[in-house]
Amino acid sequence: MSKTRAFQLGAAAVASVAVLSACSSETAGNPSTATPRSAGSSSAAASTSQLAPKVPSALPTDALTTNPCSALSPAQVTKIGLTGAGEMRQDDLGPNCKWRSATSQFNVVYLSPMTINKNGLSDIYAAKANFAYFEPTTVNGYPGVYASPTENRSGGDCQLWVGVTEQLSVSVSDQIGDGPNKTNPCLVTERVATAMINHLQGKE
Amino acid sequence: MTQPAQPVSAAAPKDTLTTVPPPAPIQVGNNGTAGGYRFEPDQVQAVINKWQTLLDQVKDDISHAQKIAGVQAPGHEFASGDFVQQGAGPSGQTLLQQHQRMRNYIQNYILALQQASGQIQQSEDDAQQVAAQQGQGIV
Repeated sequence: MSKTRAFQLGAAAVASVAVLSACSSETAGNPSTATPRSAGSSSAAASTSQLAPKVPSALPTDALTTNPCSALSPAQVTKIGLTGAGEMRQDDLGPNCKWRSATSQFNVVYLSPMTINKNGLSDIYAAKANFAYFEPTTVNGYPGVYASPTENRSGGDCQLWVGVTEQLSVSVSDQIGDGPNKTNPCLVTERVATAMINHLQGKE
Repeated sequence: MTQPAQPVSAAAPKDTLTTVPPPAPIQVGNNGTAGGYRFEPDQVQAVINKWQTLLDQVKDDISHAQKIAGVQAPGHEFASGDFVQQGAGPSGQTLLQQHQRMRNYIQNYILALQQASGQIQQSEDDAQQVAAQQGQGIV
């Protein structure tokens, strides 16, 4: 056996002992929890506990989540320029309501409580990287953010998220294909969101 | 032998259709523009209804796709966050963009059909009448 070969075997033996002793030092039956990998720039992995401004006072949301079409009173619907009781639907993200414009066949408004999320507007803040624009605002004193995956506000699409409790946010979006607000659709979403908060507060 | 890595910008698909093409010429009876599609006056409303149904569905899909962007990733760890940001997010944006263009095309097509069938003037009059009655409508 050459000196080199003997050295290699010796080193391997030392290494084996080191590995075995390392294994034997673990406490049986008490596995340690791996440290989570750093998220780096991944905002989705960040804690969403309180990223958004706090809701000043939680609004009652039972009726809203049961039937989003109840978010606006008939008088508010008419005043805004919508028509009908709204069309309620339920999909994999939660319930939603669609109202049509009273005057244009191409204009619609959607109101959707995001029951699939559990951290209200903070979950929307955590998803900031998914949006083409992200502009925090306040609606009737409640925290909101204009945010949508595509930027088409000059073409009639606007999306506004409003925190109504710390656990629930509501998406108010519109598609204005016709009329003077086609180039300013966020005016409509703001008006609808304001009316919704007023109605939930029992003011209208 | 390994091939040299492609630059990201060269490998990424390029969006070449950024505007919606206008609808083909439409003729209803003797109205409208010849050289494209021709409909009989008693049939055109059924065609318009079908396009309006399609428009409704596309608008609902747009609203749904917009909301998906706000859904939290399945778990608070790197794989889920990375999947959403690198895969689902960009795919969803492309899908949404295509839907918005399809919606615009459908709206233009419906307008062309209504224009050729002489419905537009009546619709505008009706709309103005309703708006005047309501006073404050903004939608």
